[in-house]
Amino acid sequence: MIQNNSNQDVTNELKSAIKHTRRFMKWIVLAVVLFYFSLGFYTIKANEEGVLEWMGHVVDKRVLPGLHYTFPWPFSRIYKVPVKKDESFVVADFYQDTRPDSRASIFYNLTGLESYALSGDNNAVEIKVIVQYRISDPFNYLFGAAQKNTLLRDIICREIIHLLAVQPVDIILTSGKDALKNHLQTNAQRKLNENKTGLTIHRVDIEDIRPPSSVQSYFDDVINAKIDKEKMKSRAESYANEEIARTRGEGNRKIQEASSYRDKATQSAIGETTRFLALLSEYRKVPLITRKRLYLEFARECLSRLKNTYLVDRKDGVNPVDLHILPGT
Amino acid sequence: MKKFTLLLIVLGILICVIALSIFTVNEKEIAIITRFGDPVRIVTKAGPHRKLPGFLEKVNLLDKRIHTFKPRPLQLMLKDQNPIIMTCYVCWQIADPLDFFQALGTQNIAEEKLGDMVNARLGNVLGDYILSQIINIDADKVKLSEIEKRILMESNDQARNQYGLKVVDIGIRRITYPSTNTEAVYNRMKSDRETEAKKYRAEGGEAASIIEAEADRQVSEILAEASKNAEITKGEGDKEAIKIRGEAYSQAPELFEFLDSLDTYRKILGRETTLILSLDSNLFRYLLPEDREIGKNNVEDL
Repeated sequence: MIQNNSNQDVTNELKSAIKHTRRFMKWIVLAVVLFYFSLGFYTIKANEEGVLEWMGHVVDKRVLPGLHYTFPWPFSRIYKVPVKKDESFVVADFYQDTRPDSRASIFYNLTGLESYALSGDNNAVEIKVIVQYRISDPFNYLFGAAQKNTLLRDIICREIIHLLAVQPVDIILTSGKDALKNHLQTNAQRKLNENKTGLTIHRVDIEDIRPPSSVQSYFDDVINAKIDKEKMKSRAESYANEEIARTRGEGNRKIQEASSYRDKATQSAIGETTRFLALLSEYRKVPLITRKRLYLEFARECLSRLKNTYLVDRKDGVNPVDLHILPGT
Repeated sequence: MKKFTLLLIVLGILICVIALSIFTVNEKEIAIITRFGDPVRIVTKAGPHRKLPGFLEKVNLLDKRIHTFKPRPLQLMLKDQNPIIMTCYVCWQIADPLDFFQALGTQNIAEEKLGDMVNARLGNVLGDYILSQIINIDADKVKLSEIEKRILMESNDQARNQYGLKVVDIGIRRITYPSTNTEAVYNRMKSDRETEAKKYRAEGGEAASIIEAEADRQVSEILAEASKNAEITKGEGDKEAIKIRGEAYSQAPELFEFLDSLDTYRKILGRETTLILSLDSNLFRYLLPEDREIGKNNVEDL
């Protein structure tokens, strides 16, 4: 009786437990289903774009930033692509660099050759370029080309080779840099599009462009020679200016001297003649007396100055000295 | 209750069978369906597809994207016997999946074969060109793009027929010389720069001497001009003086002559002059007794 009762109790308990569990199972199944469907929510960040794939087939090439819903795995898959992120890398395939991990060292280890590009006039040029790019076409980026970064580097190298092959080295190293940069960008972009990389280059910078280091000093000397040329010219010009200015001064002085000579000549002539004319008017009044007086004045002044003046008298009407011979002064 | 469990089991098996007979191909893939190794179908369209379940049909996925690789750098002879080393890059993609699948199978083998092929073509094609068609300051003479196009076309024919590949792009990405030739290039660059530097310095010297010569010419011109003007001015002064004197002295030439003679005597008779005068001269007429007769041959005044 007691055992019967207890048996019945166990059966009842089991029955009710199963009943409970079954009711509870519904909720569990519902929760699992809800959870599964909730996996379909996804967000695309502001600097991303999405590509939505439904059973392998792309149904939306451009999912814009925001919250979206799609059927969860295994039905659909979402690729998130950082379209606004700037990527950059250095193309130093034609740039000598002794660091063991540089492109030049890798190439040297492979071939034993130095890294350089050739100019149109057969000169070696080393160049290092920085390329900045973005993903502009998420679909092509994902499904177009496999090795995008390798291809980008190869294309940049190709364009460098092609552009330098038609330019003389002097242009490349000086005025040609900007044109080189621009052509590099447009030509490389065309190739990137042809090969479906989905990448867009938005800036190319030439970080360094130079002759090989063993030749560098010779290029420097050409620059120095140009400076020397200008120096020589300007030295000659300053010599010329100096000389001409000095000569002008000399010439002016000569002319000044000449005109002062002229003034002096005329002034002294005027002075002399004024004195003469004054004398003349006196002379006209008493010519003989004036003349005599002038003569005596002269004799007084002049003869007194002489150291030796001899007076000679005649003896018996004969002069003792031959006065035709006069001793020199 | 039992019916429900049975239904569940049947449903589960059904789902398994369906899952095993559906496969998806995405946008970068091509599928070749093989039945016990025999290719039966090619699926190129992305999306879900049916197949016989399980081991009955196998799905082989191939990558249909554009692949890039670089064959080994190749040293070759140009038509003018210049040795040159070139590296290319090659972009390819699967054109005929079945041919590709049967001839090559994997990407690595494909690139190995293709690399050999491209390098062989490169050697052939470049034998038709000379160095000045590879690099030249006249852009029209440079045939690099033409060379690339030729290699691309010739490789494409062979690659498509033999391997089911399409060569999308071939680019020459490096041109160098062997070491000895590189040294020669460096030496020529050096001597070119030396010549250029010398030329500039010579030009500087020449320009300087031209400027200096011109300056010297101007200097002598200025001096000559100044001397000329100075002489003219002096001449004017002399002329004026002569004119003034002439006008004055012509009024009384005898007085002028007298005064001028006196002046001349004044100048001639220096301190050291010895002057011998006769007592008979007029000057001393008052020195002797008045009755003394004056000599006949005396000069009037002295």
